[in-house]
Amino acid sequence: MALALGLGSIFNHSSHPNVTYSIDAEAECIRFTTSRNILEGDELCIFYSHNLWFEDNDVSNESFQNHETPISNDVASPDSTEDDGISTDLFPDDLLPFESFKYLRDDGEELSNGVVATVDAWVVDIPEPRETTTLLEFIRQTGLGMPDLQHLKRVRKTSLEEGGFKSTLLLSLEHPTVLPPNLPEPYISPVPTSPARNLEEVVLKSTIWPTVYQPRRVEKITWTYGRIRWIRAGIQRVVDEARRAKEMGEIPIASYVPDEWETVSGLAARDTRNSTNHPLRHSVMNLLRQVSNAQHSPPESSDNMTRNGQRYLLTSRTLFTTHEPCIMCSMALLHSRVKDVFYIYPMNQTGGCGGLSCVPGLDGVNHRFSIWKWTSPVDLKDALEVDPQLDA
Amino acid sequence: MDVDDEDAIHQAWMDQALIMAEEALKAREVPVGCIFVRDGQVIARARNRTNELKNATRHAELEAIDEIMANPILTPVVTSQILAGTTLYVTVEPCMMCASALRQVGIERVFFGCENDRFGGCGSVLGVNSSLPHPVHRPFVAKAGYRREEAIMLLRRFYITENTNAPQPKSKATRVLKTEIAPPKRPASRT
Ligand SMILES: [Zn+2]
Repeated sequence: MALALGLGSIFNHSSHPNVTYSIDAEAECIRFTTSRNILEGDELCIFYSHNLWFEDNDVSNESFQNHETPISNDVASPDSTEDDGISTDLFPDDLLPFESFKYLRDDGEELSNGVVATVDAWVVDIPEPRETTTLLEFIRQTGLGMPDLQHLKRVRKTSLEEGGFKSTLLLSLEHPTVLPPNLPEPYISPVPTSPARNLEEVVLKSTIWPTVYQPRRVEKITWTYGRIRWIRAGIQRVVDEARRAKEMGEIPIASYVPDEWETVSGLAARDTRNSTNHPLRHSVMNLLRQVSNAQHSPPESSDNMTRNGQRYLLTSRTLFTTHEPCIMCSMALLHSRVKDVFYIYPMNQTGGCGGLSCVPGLDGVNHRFSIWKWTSPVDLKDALEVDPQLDA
Repeated sequence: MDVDDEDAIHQAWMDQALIMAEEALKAREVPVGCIFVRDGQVIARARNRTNELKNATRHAELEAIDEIMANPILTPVVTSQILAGTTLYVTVEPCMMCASALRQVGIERVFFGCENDRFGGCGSVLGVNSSLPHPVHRPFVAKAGYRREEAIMLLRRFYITENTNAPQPKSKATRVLKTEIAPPKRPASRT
């Protein structure tokens, strides 16, 4: 089930939420999903934020310490206007200390040379047109195919040569396991991957499958002085961690995820490949482990087993890292539903956020996150330099 | 040994990976299982533990690699190709994360059951195993279609019993387990 944006504020917090949420950058909405059956009278609750206590963890010692304020200032603002601005004032775009790595065109559209991006979905022919209403009600009740197919109309009518229409029902991307009886075998048909952003696209996409018209709101991200300072502190934090990693004989790469916007508490992790003798102990993987340990639910809730990733580790959270994450780490971040990734050093030969490949930009993946490259000077005298062939 | 004999051997190994996937299903995890084989011996077996560990990255392959890395007999010296000479049998195509991990530890070759259209890292979404150039890590061969139907049926059994995201249909009778399986969209073998 999906609710429209604007209802978010009605949910209360619960440590045992029955509603999960994810932010879908592509559809520009927050998606609320019930995570268990809701009985009449139940209050819908979401999980607002994460516990602030930690468990010990073998991969990363010492890196739990929170620095309320950065000790060093390698990434200090080049001029003082940034430091002096009022937190809630808008920050001028042309002075941003980072830039967006864009992997979709500005309108978010993959339409190139009139070719519509499609994905295979399961559909079924409706034997009796008068059953259509019942079948649509079935789709509504079961949520079959949602939210993947919410940008498409559920029924396609095609005129038959002998006169009249054939109606076809759109089911789901995965093979539909739940179907009403007395339907013929479902089969695969291509459908557009995204809604129609303009009228030309309505026509073009609907020749493949009737597609919802959803013009993109011209949404411009606005940055405030407060946020810019928060981001700069996050960058400083990973620089500090990476520097300490290097002092300890590790590869100087580190990652950090604050608990939420405008806070400086959070978890950080360093690369520990050298000390653990394990080639996959990258900072992002270490950090994800820490985050999952930190939010381990109390034992009594273990019977309320959540499905694969229902409570994702990084939903709506921002990750800072010194070096562009490798393919493994980029996909791990996608699995964890991170919202924003900030990095300082691109890894053109191995990176999964625009270097070698751009994992969240690939066709088929079911989550997108924003990638930001830090562009403001960081004066480290090459202290954080790594082999350009290394997987960060 | 002709191709049929060889396929029979790979399918027999895959049956052991399927046992791990069954175990995942019983534990209410997305049913994916794997085994790592070296010199004709299983050196690690694992299954998906994403729910148990509340970490969407704890896939079967990474669980098994950690087990191998933690064992000094299996990993006496850490080199850039720890899993050279090792074959992975996994019921579902490794995702891009796992494919990248496998390439970073120098896996020799991979046999898998069914494709993964969402995240597949051995050709379905991205050829992390070989077509994607890497400056250091050698590519590995990944072959699809070993016990594919069984792997798909396990996934369907999971989704039919565990689909808690959607409100349940009124009657259990309407929840039919489909047994027909569409052929793969791409050729079964890819390198
Ligand atoms: Zn990495």
